[in-house]
Amino acid sequence: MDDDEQKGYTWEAGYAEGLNINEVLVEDEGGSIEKSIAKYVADSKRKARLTKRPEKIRLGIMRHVMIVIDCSRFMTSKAMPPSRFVVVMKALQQFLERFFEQNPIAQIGLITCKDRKADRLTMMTGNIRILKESLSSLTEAFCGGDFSLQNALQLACVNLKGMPGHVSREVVIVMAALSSIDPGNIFSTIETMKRMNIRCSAIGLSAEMFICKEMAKATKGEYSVALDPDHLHLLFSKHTLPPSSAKSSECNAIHVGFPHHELIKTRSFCVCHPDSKPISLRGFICTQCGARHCSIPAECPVCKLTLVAAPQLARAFRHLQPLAAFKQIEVTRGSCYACETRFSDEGFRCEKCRLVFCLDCDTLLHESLHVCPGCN
Amino acid sequence: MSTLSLLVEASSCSWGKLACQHGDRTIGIILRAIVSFCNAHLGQSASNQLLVFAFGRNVEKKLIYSSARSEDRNVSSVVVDHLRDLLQSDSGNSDATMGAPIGPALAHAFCHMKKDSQLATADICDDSLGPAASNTEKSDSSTEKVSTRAVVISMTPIIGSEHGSLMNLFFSAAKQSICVDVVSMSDDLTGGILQQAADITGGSFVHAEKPQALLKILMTNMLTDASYRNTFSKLSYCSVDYRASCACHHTLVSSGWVCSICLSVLCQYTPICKVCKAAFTITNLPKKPSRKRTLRS
Repeated sequence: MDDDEQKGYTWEAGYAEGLNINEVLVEDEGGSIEKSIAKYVADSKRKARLTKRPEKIRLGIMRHVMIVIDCSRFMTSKAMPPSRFVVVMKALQQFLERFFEQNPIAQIGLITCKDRKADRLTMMTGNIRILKESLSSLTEAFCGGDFSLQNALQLACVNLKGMPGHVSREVVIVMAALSSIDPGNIFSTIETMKRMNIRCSAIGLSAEMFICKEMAKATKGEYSVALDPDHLHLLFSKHTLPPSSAKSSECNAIHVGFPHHELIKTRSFCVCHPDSKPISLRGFICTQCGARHCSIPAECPVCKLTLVAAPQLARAFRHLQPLAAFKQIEVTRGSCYACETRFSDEGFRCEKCRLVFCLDCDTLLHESLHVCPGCN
Repeated sequence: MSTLSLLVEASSCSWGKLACQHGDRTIGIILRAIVSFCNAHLGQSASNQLLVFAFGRNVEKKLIYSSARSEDRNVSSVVVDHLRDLLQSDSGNSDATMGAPIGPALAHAFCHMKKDSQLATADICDDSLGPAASNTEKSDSSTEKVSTRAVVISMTPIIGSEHGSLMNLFFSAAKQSICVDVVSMSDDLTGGILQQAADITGGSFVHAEKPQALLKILMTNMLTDASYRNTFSKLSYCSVDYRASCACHHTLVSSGWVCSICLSVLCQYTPICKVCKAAFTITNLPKKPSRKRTLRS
């Protein structure tokens, strides 16, 4: 074989898995790879859009997710300007919004890990306000010490243990550290997670680590490393979609209440704002115990009944019947069917009604609307 | 600057039904009300944009008027001509099913308005069915705010099969801060899903008893931007029904059981889901040694 034609070393192939580093990360004249990273992120976004969502598959729609936030000293590094901590907090705030938009009946808990110890920041809750408040209570000065993967996993495991069998249990670890200081054998912990059907995913901020890859592989999770803030958002958004669940997993019927949204004339306190008055004259009354809530979905803290609105429940259906991916085609003439902007070079065609849409409309349709404007 | 999408039901059956109930002049009154409302909106400001959509079973081209198009000069004639053509061609076919799918038209409208709303994403509406806490503080920060609204004129109750997809649309409208107002002209007072839609997106829902009331409702309740509505007393403060209909008896239930696999609502606890046939695991039962297993081994 001619040596000149060979593109890289043979050992590189094992690391790259389908992408050739030399090809993907090309240095420009200044020696910077920022442009290539931006291109890679845009490509993976497009790829995510073009892949079809699975249909007729059992999904773990009732998700209980523990998010582990690395608060070790590596988090304060300025590798992602202004600092990793700031970037992660911003991404997490957005993630929470999108997560609850897509999974109205899911719950999230937060764990911080610093000084080799893991602490629970918030309990499992479906209330986005509590989560956001506790997230914003974290500061960069709080970070310090080392990260411990085992302690974090064990704490997450303790929190997820009590959850009923029908929920999909997940752990998402945001990790900046390149080392983990563990009190015992990490592999046995991973084995425990696997046995308990807890899906462990991780998002790395610095470099790929063997142990995270092993963990994700064993527990059917996902592991990827963020290249820049934009890519981090993309990686987080992957976790907003519910994972598929095994046929053998338990299922159950959950007791829920559907309260009215009504004007409350009697003077009363609500359970969600204990320190101040209710934020609006209107509210929801728990159908079981009569406690006042300002917003739903929520779990009534008094009687533990899940309160949702029928429309929110109906929304979760779209994961079960997703809108088929549009086909990317080359168009030079004409304009987008929905928004009437002229096409420059690419368009997306619905295979059912044969109408062509622009990139922006395609993104909007697949990410939030889920109804094709052309099909009747 | 504000962009308004007006969605009008264009199904000849429902227009015909209204004409039967309220007399021959009904169609003219409704058309006149729509045209006056369109002109009033465009007349408010030179930068106002207007989109008129028609939704119905056999409507090919939903967007019948767009003020951004150069060929559409005269609103009144374009809207009236198109609506009349649509109704005439629809009355010709033998399909007598009532109701019109509103989903695709709404998706079209939201897609079209997204460019305008992207400029104004200063405040993202809280998606949690409650009042958005951060809505009021941020509104002054963005000086040139584009407001986007949709007004739906519906004449028949929405069909149940569309429920899930419509809810997606309304929640994403709330996220894009598009306010959806609804005028219902059907017999149904509550309006069902459209009332919920108005509540989710912060719009108002009004039921028009007579066609003569349509113009008054449009002009007094739906001409202003959502941001100015706090200064006026809000009319639809009645309680909004968020109950779900159960899969077994199709009755509305205020508390029920939800299957964790298919998310269907059951009014009573059953060990097997009636929709997806999943067998629920009952956790608190004492475990008996199962006979089947002993037989097999």
